[in-house]
Amino acid sequence: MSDATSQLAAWLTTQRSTPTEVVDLAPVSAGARRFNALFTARSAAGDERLALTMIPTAAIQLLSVADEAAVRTLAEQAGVPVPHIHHVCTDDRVLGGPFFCSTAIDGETVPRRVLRLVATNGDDLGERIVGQLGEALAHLHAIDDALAPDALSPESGSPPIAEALGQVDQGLSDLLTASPAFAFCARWLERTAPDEPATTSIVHSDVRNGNIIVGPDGLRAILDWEGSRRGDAAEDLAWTCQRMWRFREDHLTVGGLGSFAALASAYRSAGGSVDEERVRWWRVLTTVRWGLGMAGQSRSHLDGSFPSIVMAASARRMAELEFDALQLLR
Amino acid sequence: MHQPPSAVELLRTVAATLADDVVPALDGPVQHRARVAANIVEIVAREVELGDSVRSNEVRLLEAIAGSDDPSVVATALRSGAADDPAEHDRIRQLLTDIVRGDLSIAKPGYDAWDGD
Repeated sequence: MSDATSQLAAWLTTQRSTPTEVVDLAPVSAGARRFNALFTARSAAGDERLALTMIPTAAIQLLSVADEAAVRTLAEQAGVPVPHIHHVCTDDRVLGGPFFCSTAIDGETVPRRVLRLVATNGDDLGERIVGQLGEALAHLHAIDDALAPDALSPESGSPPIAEALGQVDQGLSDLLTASPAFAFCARWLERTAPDEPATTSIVHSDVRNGNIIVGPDGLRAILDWEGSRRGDAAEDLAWTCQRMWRFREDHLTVGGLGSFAALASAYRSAGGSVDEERVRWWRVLTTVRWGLGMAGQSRSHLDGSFPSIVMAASARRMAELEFDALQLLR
Repeated sequence: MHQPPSAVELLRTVAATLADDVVPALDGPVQHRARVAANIVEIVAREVELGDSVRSNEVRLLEAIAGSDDPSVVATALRSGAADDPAEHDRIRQLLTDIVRGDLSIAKPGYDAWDGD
């Protein structure tokens, strides 16, 4: 870590054209895809608390750090709470992978701690956070997506509904054992598919309890923009409602925090429109796609491309998503 | 014939040792992997215990859906529209849910206590 500290300090010194020290660099979480740490940048101008997000290898990044930074800047300008990005480094040689530094924001991010905070503050904090999420998503979806980097478009060039159905079709054919439950859902998805959205939007694709920073005052930031892409705005609304983001608070549709009505009402008040049937379709689609992804993780373990006990365990979780999807089709 | 403990009892002991002794002694990503390991051993213990009855139940349910005990044959029938009719949709959705409940009794007991939104 001392090596990373001095490398980062040297790089920041060049970037900021002022001698900068890196103090208290401490990892906060290490996901499979990215490494997150907090530190203080100390210079003559004073101390600044920053968050470092590093992608261990550019080979696994979904969006490049430069494209992710561009999307976050667009979102920030549109009024979405996002930690401001100060520096972007695309050179692997500095820290061993591309990275960016953003403003460190205090608050809770771990889902169970978020729910505990809400529980100790009374129910209206949860509803307030959900409303703020609705407002933030409306602002995000109102951005003209022509302004976003080209990398946000799917490689297939397909519009969002066709793209998503194609992913489900592929996921079903990749299964090592057939899933009658998902075959049933896929048929329903195909025959009830909504029209392609009239306009595409920048979709974050992973707004949920777990990717937000909250405090007693409510929503402070939406994190983890690496999955952003052009898509159907309704997908983002649907994803916030998935049962796996409720952490056993099953009666509170949006992240175990509050109601879908609060999300939809804030979204509409901020200029968005909500088609509840379209949102339901996306809930089924993303549930099936997530379940198929679980099976895919275990295949990566079995074929040796990503051997890991966590990946091996994933396929046994597919039944949870089969159950959720079937319940949504009652 | 071995003296007891049985295979299931041994697996449960392994799971408890991992969860109660090993996991608390670790931290970070290794702790996470140990927790996953404990959970896998629990799942395998339930599979050894319940697997045969869950599978025979599944065979019966698959046959009731589309007249075959082969999941790929049933999946193909459903993908081709065997459940498009609203009455069939409800009947088959219920049977599929019962199949999945069997898998959940092994993989995640209690997860099926949810009726949707």
